Amino acid sequence: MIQFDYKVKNGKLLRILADIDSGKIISLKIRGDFFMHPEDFIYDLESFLVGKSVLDLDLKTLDEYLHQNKVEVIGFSSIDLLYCLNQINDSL
Amino acid sequence: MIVYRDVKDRGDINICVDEFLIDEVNRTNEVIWRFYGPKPCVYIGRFQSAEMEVDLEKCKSDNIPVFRRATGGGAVYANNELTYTVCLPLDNPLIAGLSIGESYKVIIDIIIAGLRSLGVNASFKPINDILVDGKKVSGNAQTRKNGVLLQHGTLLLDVDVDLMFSYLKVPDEKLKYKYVQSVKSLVVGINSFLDKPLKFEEVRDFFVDFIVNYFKSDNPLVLDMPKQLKDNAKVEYGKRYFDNAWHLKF
Repeated sequence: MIQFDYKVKNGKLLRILADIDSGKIISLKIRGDFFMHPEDFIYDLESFLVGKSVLDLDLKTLDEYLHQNKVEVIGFSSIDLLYCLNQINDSL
Repeated sequence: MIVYRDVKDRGDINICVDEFLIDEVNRTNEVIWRFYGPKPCVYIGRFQSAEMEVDLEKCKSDNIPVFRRATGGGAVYANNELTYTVCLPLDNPLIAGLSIGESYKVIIDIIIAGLRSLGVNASFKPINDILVDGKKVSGNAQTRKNGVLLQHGTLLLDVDVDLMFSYLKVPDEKLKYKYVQSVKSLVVGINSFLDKPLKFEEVRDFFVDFIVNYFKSDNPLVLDMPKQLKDNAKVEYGKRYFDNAWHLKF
C-alpha cells in the first residue's frame, strides 16, 4: 500500500493508505485525527471507494454519498480525500 | 445535573465509563459532568493507526498501555492531566440546534472560562483545541449516540515533552504545516502559567466547584464517582475496551 499524508489547511491530518492499479482503487484505509459522525461510517466510506477509478471519482459523487447518508466529517472534505487519492495514483 | 468527582484510573476504564455515561444520560435525561484523570497511558483517536502514531515498542518496554478512544481526534501521552467529560441530551438548551463545530465551541468556552478564573489566559483554537501562548494545553473530542452528545477533553497540567514524544510519532507533514522546528513547541501544561503549580486533585476540585457555580441555577449535585457505576460500565463495555482487538485494530 502506498501512504500519503496530507495536513488539511485549518483541518486535520489525513493519512491515506491505498493500493491503486491502473487507476482503480484496490484497497483503501482512511486514517487520521479527524472526526466522523457516525464513526462507524468510515468502513462504509472505504468500501464505497474501493473498486472505483480515481480519475472517474468526482467531488459531486462523494459529497452526495456523504450527504445522503447524513454523515458529517470534521477536519477534511471530499476534495481533500480526492486530492490524496490522486497524489497516490500520480506517484505510481 | 450531576457532577462526578472521580480519581485517576486506567485509561481503558475511563473510556468504558464515558461510554456508559451516554447510556445513563439517555436513560435519565440528566446532564452529567465528570472530572477525572488517567494513569499513564497513550490515548489514540478513533481513526488513527496505532502503528503510525505511536512507538509501540517503546510503550511496551515502558509498560505504557495504548488505548483507542471512541471519539476521533489525535494521540496524547496522558500522564499528569485532568480530563473532563460532559454528557448531555442533544435537545439540551446549551447545545440544541447547534452544529457539531458550534457545540464544540460552546463547551470548550466553558472550560476556557474555568481556566481563566484559575489565572490561565486560555483561548479557543478551532476545531477542538485550547491554547495558551500559542501552545496546546487541551484537546477535545466529541461523539453523538442515541440522542446524547458526549464531549471529553484533556487539560495537561505538566508535560514532559521529551517523554511524550518518545511515545508519540509526529508526522513531518504536521510539523511542516505548523511551521515549527520541534515538537517541543507544540504543547505545554497549565502549571507553566501558574505561580504555584497545582496537583491533579486541586485542579479537579477547582473545576468541580467552577461547574457547580457556572450552572448553579440547575442545582447541580456533586458526587464522588460511585463504584457501582464504574462496575456497571466495565460489565457493559469491558468486552470491547479491555481488548487490544479494539485498541490496536488499525
